[in-house]
Amino acid sequence: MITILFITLFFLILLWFLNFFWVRSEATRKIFYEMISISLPFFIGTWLGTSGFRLIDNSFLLQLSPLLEFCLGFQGLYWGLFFGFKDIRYFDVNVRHFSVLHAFFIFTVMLAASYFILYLAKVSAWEILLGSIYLSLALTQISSTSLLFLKNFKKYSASFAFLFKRVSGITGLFTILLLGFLSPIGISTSLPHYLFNLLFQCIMAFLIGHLMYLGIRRSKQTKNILIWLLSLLLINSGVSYYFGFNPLFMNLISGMVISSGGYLKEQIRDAVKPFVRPVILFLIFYTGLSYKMHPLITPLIVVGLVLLRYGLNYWSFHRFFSHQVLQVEEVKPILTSLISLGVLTPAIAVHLNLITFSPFSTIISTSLTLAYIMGYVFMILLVHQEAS
Amino acid sequence: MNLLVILFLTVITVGLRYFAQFLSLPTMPNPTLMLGLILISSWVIGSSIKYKSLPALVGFVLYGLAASPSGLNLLTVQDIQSLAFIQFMVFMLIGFLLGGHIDFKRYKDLTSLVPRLMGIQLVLLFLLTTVFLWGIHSLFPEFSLLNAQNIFAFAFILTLFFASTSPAVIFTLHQEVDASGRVKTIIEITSIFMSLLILLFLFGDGILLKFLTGTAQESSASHAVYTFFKHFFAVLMSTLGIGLFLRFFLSAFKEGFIVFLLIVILCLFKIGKNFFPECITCFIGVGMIVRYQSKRGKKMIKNIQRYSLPLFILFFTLTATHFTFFKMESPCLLLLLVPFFFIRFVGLQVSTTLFFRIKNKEEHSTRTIAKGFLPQSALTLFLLTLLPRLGEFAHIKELSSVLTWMVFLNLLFGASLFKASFIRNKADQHDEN
Repeated sequence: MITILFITLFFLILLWFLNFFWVRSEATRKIFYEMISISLPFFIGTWLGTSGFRLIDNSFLLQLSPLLEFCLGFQGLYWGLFFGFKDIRYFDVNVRHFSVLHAFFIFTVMLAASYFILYLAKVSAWEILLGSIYLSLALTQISSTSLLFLKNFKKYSASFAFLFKRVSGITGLFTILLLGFLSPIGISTSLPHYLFNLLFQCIMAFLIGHLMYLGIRRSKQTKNILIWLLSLLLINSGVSYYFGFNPLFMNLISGMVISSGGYLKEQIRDAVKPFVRPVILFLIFYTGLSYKMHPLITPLIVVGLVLLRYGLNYWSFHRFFSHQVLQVEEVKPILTSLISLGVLTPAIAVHLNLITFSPFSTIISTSLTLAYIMGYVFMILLVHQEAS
Repeated sequence: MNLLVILFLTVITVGLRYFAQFLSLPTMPNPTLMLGLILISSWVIGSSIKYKSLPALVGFVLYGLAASPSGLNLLTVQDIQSLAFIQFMVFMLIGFLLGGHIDFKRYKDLTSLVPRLMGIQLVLLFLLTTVFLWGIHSLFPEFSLLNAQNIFAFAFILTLFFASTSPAVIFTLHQEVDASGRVKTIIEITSIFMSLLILLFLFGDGILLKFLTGTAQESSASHAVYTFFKHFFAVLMSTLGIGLFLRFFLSAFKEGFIVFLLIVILCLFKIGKNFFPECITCFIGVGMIVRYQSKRGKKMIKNIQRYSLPLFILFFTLTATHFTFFKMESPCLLLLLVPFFFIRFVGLQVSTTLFFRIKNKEEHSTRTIAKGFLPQSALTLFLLTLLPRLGEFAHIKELSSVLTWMVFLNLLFGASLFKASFIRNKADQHDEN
């Protein structure tokens, strides 16, 4: 309880400092409000959860599981609906190459860095492996949400924003695919067993997605489409729970199947849009419920890994755009937008927590959520520095 | 085609469930899979059944009954238990929507009409029930449920039971028939306030009703009144606190409002799942506060309402899974359904018609308004759970079963009758124009 009190006070002082010294422009003000709105569920969660008043304890989490699995699956479905097999083909080939190379580059370096941090913390070998994979996955995706706050920023470039959204989408897709490919390792005893699990997961997702698409084709109203999509989410998440599959990956594949069908594509996308924000906030709230910090791991993730990730992103983007790989027009990158963490971060943190329920996974998920919040603090500082 | 799809989905989901059990996978019971299945199956069956006067909710209720443990056992008792929070959440969100639907400005002219209509309905139902119970008592003295002392108490409980109408049904039907106007408003507000009145009597585990039947642990009137007011005050304070808290969040963080609403529901579930009537009353009040003179509140409630169909599907389906019809020792008591059904039908129809005749108002729509009160509220199921605790009476199980049957039938036929009447009324109005 004292730790929570301390961290809440620290956060309040940080907010006050930011507001007093650094929140000057419209861009920083928007980021500041965003930071408050994402951190509030987290802090409410910490006070209500196992480290706070214990109002929501571990025994209650089973009751919450449908909601949680729904939220996790939603992230996958959303990506699938917006990045169907056909959609990706329309992207510029250079952007596609850059996105995959960039994601792979960030993932690899982050994996090494996280491995080193967890090794320093002297946790067990299995926890080092699992933790570093999840940490690197959570830090791979870049966030296009950050661009929303930079619209009035003097360095804002519409062309960059356009490309950035695509890169962000593909890195997100890459993240979920990697998560999906790596997940069955935990439930497999041999390589053939792993391959069987992976194949079974893909077939089930494809089959359920296709069946739902058949239903959606006969619906015309948004509310009817929504019911099909909600059921798809719940059924896929339920199946993944029973067999230990990944709800994000299964829903991604089903979403891609629906999106590739092409029927009422825009209406389907519009139906899920209002859920995006509540889902992220609820996942953040959940990570707050089981809150745990580590004297070494938490600060190294929250500050060290976030800054390292920014450095790598900066280098990669700067190199790509300054060499005019696109060769179409000169696009100035808004490097400030590279520091905030992607929207998949809370989902990956919660997934790790759900599959292990160990104190170690709680530490990682808390650290990731704090890093997600701190990303916005760093962003305010960067915007302020660049503006001045 | 859709029916075929849900058939496939049912085979897949149930098959996978058994497959997981066959493989002895180390997973705990998880209701997510079945929740997804009942949502889509219920909706598909509802929309397949929906035809002219037959509303979709009939399909939801029938599917719920078929999937329940007493039906095909698609939803096992364990599943229903693990869905407790989802059910609670759905009930609270519907309560919030109902409260948020009340537009005080629009209902200004109804402030005197609605209480009087409720009053006349209650009085007539009470008279009819009392006469019936007296008749039973005089003709069949072996019916030991009743004696001269508690006959009025039971008449009162049955009156509350008969007077209940379902705002959720009205809400769902209005989405289907695209209703608007005064008829809708009158039915809606009367049924919401009638539900609130019934909920008041369920406060403190029905302490007032227990006192009336003489089954309260402490039989003094002061204790019953004190307990009731303690609960009433707690509800009032919680409503104000939560309402103002959510209003503040709505003004500060519009997009995250639904998450804060969920967090409040989570806390209420943990603290007060045993005080369901209090919680739902609180949420109806919270809805009113969030909406009251707030443009953002109004907009938010409209947005939630736009996406509320899955909530109502789950509400009716999960309610139907709770219809447990007890094995009756004396099946002939099932015949009680006929007079009960008759009393309720006549009481509500006659009182409503009489009221509007006297007032010389709504002549064209009186029949439709009267039909609007026929669907019975699921809240009465809570009233029924209270019945066995009102004392060790013989035939109490039979009475519960009869009343459960009545709620079930009223949900099915009441909704259909109302829809048919509403469509006819609309057509008449169209012809007149």
